[in-house]
Amino acid sequence: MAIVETRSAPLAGDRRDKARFLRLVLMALLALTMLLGLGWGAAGDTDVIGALMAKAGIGEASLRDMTIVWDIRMPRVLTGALVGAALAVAGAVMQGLFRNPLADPGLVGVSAGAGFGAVAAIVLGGLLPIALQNLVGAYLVPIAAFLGGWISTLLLYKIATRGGRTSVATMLLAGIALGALTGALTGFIVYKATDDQLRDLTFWGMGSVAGATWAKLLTAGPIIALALLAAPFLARALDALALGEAVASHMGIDTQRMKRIAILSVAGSVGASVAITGGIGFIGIVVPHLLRLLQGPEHRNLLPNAALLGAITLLIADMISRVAVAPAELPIGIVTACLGGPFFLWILLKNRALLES
Amino acid sequence: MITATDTTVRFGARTILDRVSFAAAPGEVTAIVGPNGSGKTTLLRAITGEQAFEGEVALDGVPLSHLSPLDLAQRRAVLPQSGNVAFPFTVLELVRLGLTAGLATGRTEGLEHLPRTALARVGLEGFEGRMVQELSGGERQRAQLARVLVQIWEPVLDGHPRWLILDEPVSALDIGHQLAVMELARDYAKRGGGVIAVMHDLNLTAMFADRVTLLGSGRVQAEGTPQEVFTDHRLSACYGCALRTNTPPPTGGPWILPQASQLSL
Repeated sequence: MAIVETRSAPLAGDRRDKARFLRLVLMALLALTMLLGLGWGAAGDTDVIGALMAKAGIGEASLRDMTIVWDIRMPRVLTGALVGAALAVAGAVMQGLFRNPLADPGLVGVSAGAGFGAVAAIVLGGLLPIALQNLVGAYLVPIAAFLGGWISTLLLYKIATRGGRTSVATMLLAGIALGALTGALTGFIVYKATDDQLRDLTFWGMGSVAGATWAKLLTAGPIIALALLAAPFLARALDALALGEAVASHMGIDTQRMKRIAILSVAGSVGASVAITGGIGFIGIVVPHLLRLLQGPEHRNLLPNAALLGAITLLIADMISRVAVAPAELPIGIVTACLGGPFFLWILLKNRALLES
Repeated sequence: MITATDTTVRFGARTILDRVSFAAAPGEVTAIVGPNGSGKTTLLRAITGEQAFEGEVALDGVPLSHLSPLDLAQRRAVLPQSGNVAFPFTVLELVRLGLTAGLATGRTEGLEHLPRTALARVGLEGFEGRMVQELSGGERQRAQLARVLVQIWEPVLDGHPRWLILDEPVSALDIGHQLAVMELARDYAKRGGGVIAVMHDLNLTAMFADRVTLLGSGRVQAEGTPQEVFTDHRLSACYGCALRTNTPPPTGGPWILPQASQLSL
């Protein structure tokens, strides 16, 4: 019993102050990493502050500095921050929905589904009626990725949930099966692709924030922003869902409606992220888990702090990917997997110890 | 009033509840008893809307299907049988979830003290910072009860009685806490609220319930006060074992003594 007591929160169970304090720290850290990201690059000495100020009409900066900061690094940093936030929040929402800390869009095939959507759009997009192509334009790939992610999440939820209970084993195994299936479909489409399309696919599939442009950011950004804005409205429902679907319903939650919104939000975040950066794993599992340890599982604080820490983590991973094999760049998915893989194993081993004791 | 009229529940070809009618009035503790598999929990789930059924369940005459989850959550709270929690909530965080349950907004000004008060009410003072996942079964059940109490703290709101619906509330508790929780339920009814409880312990039921519905094989076997329902013959037949009722001095209610088979009548 003594051990149990020292493990428990000392503040008589209320960790909201801790979460609020953590949010301030994370906001400061995010500002810092964004500035670092803007200042760090192959172009050497750059007056970042000067270029930022010049845009706001204060002082002047050289054309070279303005171009480097505003046209090359800014879209990259913003994309990194937005995608990191989206992946972390999608992870937290999905874990809340499945009532399991191991649900991660990358692990259970949602990213693969989104990837299939993106590849299908790149290869088969030309077959759509011209009018439709003109209508959706550059949004075709993100929208297709969103649809792919949405259908995968929906299928996964239907398969893994019976009578209001989600089975972890079924979820992970169904995720593997769905991932393999969409992977095969993706492979089939790639096999059918023309040489030009293969070039597009290769660039897309390199999966990094290095290729970020304002144009890509503007296509995927609004979808991610919508998904992130929907997340706080799910906070109370996700808390209640932690007690089980029936209990959540007794607590006044319209569980069917909240599940639909949660699945759409996950699909939006993951689909749009995959469309611009390819599959980046483990952010969605590491960030929410760390935050639950630090500040508790209440979603009203977990979701915003996950967005901040997710953004910071991806920006740091991006910086590592730039220096690890300089002057070349490591795909960022490799970096996040190197950090996240051991962390995932650690969670597993820790939970195993809890189960065996 | 909470009423169920001709309620039937089928799982595939099996009929779990067969045209069961049930009524509970505010100001009373209404117990549902019966042997394992008699349909007690299924009836409770039909009453809470958790289980699909044929027939009608109504709250003050309004069918359940006409009430939104939010309406229902303002009028009644349900204590589940198992109190598993998916993430590492502290006891205080768990109980605090009851504060916003049933509210359209998350605003809880002026109610922040309620979770601690409710924890004291179930004998869990000082447990605020403990992790729910590390509690014993009985402690967890009481922590969940505190959450449920916070959801419908005032037994009467705007002239409407509110309901405490309990699925085997004392199954994991020691004898002292069994009495404390049943007294808490009595008190809630005394102050104008309604209590419906699925019970296993017939003696506790006789001691604390105003009305009893005895289920057997998915049908109502008897309904009335404990004195009316608990007879040697009926209980023995329903539970399939020899039971003898007696009357203890202080309350005048029946108490039930199981008879080992070699001693049976």
